[in-house]
Amino acid sequence: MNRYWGFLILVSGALLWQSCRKEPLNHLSNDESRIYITQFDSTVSFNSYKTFSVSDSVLLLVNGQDVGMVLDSADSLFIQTFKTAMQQVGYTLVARTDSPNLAVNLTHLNSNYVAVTYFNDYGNYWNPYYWGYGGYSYGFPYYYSAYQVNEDALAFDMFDLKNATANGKQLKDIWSALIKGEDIFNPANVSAEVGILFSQSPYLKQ
Amino acid sequence: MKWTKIYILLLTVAAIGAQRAAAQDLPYYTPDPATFQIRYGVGFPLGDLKQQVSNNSFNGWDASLMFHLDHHFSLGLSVEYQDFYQKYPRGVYQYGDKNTNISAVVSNSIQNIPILFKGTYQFLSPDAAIRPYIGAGIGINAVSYRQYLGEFTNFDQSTGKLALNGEAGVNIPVSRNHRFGVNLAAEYHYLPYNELGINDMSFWGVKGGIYMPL
Repeated sequence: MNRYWGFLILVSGALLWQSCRKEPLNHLSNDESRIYITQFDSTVSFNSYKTFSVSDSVLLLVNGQDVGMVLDSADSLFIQTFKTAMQQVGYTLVARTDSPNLAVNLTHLNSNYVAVTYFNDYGNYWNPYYWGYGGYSYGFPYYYSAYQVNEDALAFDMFDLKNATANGKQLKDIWSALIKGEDIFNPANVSAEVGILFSQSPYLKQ
Repeated sequence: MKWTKIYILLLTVAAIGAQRAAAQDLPYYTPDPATFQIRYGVGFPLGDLKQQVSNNSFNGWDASLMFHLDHHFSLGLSVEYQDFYQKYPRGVYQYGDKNTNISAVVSNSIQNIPILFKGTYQFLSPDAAIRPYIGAGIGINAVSYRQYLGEFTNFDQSTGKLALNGEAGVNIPVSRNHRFGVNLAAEYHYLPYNELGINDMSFWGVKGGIYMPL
């Protein structure tokens, strides 16, 4: 009987080792982790817009708070790459002061916070006897552990300046895009990221 | 006295003969009250499950405890686990009002865990070298379905549903007393789901493992 149990333990161990659930997040590259969301106003015809301008820096929002305008090398690259992509689909780049039909703002959204979590019964796995206090128990504070979240996203918003007055003096956001995921501000990724935004927005083409 | 000795001798010979005859009538194998079985399994998705994950699953196992009613019938409980996972290449998906497009690598992760009340019928006599059997089970499927868009959770749903199972296979004793052996089987799981527009999580599979007495 004993050899049966030994064999059973071996087989069970092998099965447990082999059969662990595949964790999807452990099988994603940084490129695969990113998502690209675009949204457009279906009531407008993009063919009616000819010129555009892009903000010369990026608005940084940290936890929803306006931190100010920033311009690092990745930001500059995003701005320049976006301008090039717009020109490639038929729009004309003009200066902000030359009454462009479309205005494009870039916003860097950062969520950066520390949170605490509570583990009950955590200490019971350690026997106080180890420290010479058999029969004692551990006393833990209510809040025990902390974790940090740091997420970045980049948003593009395209506003209709051409019809601002007709739209009730409102700059309507007629196209928006959001890039979320890992490593989005790596300069090596910028061209591909902007390319994806335009490839899934064929209606932008003139 | 002489006849008494002959009488005792005859009785002794008869008793020994009867014992040997009885021993020959006894089966080579006497079933244990219960058998524990553990197996590795490969799962092949069917129907709507295949729409979500077309990859075959090589992450699976089951364990069962069967109580023998006689040489042929057994009843018991079984817990099975089959993990289906697939990562699809980046694609563009329309959302909501169809003015929204999301480009993402979609990962689907589905775990079927049928917990079954099971019955089996073994053919042939217990001392056969190979014993084919058929079985069926009914119970609950604890199913977990998580979908990711990139690294972001799109949905994460765990629920309990009906589980039906049919199985056919062979038990191959490997010990001299036939109490310990190897099991090979094919099985079908009908697992209705009716969530998220998915009708069922059914799959079929092949299993291989060991059984032993308890």
